[in-house]
Amino acid sequence: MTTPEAAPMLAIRDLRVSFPTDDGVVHAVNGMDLTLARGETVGIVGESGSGKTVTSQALMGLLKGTSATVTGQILLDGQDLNALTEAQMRAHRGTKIAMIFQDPLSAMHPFYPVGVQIAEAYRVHNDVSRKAAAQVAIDMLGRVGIPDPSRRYSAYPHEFSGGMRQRAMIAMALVCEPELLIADEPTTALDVTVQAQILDLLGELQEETGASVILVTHDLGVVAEVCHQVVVMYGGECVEQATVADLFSDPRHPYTQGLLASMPSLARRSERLNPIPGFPPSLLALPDGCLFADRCPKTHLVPDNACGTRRPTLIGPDGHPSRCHLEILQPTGDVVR
Amino acid sequence: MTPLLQVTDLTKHFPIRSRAFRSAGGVIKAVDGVSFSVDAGQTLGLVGESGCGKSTTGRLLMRLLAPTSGSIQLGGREIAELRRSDLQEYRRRVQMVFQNPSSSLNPRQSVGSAIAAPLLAQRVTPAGGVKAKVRDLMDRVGLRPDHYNRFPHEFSGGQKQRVGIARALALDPQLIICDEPVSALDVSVQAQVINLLEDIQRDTGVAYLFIAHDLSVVQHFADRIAVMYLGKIMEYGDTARVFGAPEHPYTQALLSAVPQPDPAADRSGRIRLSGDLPSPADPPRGCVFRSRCPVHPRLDPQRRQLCNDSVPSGDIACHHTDVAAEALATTTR
Repeated sequence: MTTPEAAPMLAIRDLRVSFPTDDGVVHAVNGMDLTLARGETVGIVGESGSGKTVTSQALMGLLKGTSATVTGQILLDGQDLNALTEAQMRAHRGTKIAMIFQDPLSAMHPFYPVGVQIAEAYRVHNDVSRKAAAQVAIDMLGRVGIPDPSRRYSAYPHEFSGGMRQRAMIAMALVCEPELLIADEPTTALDVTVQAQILDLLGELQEETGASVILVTHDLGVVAEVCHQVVVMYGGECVEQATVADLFSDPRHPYTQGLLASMPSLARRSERLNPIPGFPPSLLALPDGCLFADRCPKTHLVPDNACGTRRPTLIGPDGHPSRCHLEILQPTGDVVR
Repeated sequence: MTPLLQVTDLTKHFPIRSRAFRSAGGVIKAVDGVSFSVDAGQTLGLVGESGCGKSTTGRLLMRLLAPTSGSIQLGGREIAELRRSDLQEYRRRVQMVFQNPSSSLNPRQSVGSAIAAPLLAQRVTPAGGVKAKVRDLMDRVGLRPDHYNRFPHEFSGGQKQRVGIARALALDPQLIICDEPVSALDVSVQAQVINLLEDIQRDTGVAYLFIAHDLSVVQHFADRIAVMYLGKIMEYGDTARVFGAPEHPYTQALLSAVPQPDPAADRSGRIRLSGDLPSPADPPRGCVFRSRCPVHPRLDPQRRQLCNDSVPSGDIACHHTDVAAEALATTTR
């Protein structure tokens, strides 16, 4: 692991994304804050519909030109990406910020050879000949561990196995040496033994290039393996942010606690799982109070029904804030468990 | 006591018709000589990576596919050769829960009538009528009575899977084949469904064949486990033994690849498998795992030859478990 430098390279301030639909406005992201230092890996965890993928799409500027409303700041090296036009953003995509998608088969063009697609990504940003770009692509395929890269250069996506395709996807994302890599569920479609290979590869490449990584996942096991920082999302909000060690040893938000308790684990075989009752809130009609209130086992600890009427803010100790009214009641950090 | 379900040498070969694969020799051995048993009221976990044949095995047991060879006995009765007309009675005793509740429910059929469908198909008239039975089933899986006339799109993934479970329970089967029943669900909801399945087993004594790729879920749930790789069972035994002291190198690698939700966990002893799953159309000769086996390259030539020449059999399908144990001891030291 590389030692993270002090200056934040990425700062997200109060990011909000909403989509107009026939049924009303869907509030997909409702206040996302995040800081990320150079060379660091932050994990964004949450269940489906918690806004983690929309957050990463907003970072990549993929929501520009759609019906989505994106507010807030996305400061990459001090420059607000959210204020850029699509044309300006294009210059950044690939060189400053790149993305690995969950399903490489649908993210790649099925009619073009894999190598050609990697070379094309390189030529967009670098004024080189096709031949030189092809050589760069072949080198890159070799670096991500694809055997016989010069032959595989002309293979089509469907001729690769799932793990190989994800390696090629990583090659495509890293060919222009971005400073920030967003990996959206990069191993979810893969088997565990292949997932382990891909996570190792990402770690090695990060060490080589010094890039920062945002890893979007629903798997807390993956987070524990590779991340330095974690952001837990629920209902489009960041409900807790902490270092990996703190999050697992001292989860502060009741949702995080519930999530950890509901997981079956190889290490401890419990007799009975402790699910979180109920379902996530509808993003069409968000409640006024805490979004987790109707599933939370601790609302009775907060006086005046504050959980049902007031939305908590992200507060708490430095480096480990959580969005819960209990934080105000117990500022010393002893949250009642 | 004879087991409820006894599967012996079950094999399913799919002929290859496409031209591109002609050189491969003609068949994909999706399931190749698989044997296991499930006792009444117990759970067998069938685990393995994609393409290992676990879902095909489930479909064979349900007789959605006809086996190429081998025997499936339920309560002592051979069902591998049953004709269509006799399957009706068999399916009353064996039911299935599918992975994706969204695609296994008819979007234009109300939830109540989806749960009633097996009763009507089997012409079963429960005491008190079909509607009362359906409401009882809905209550048992945690759905409200007013959900009866709703349609699948009005439900969340977890609720839809509850409908799938209620439907499988409708005929009071002895065995339910659960094919990745919780893989499509979020963790917090997944735990709800696992607890529900456990409660049902405790109350009704139904046996489960639980097909999953998530090892921690299977460990929590299963009494016995069969680990599959390329159509064959690599390791078969009690859950506690297989997870506590895995003997097959593949089981060892599979277990050590599972990411642990504990940042302080010791990861130094991790076994990394190189490469991908070989094509099931052209599996390695001899031991199918040898192309990725971490133990194989460390063997002396004579023993290595054994892996190439002969197919290992038994509950731990490995020729060299002694070396595997030694190798594991040195890597985890």
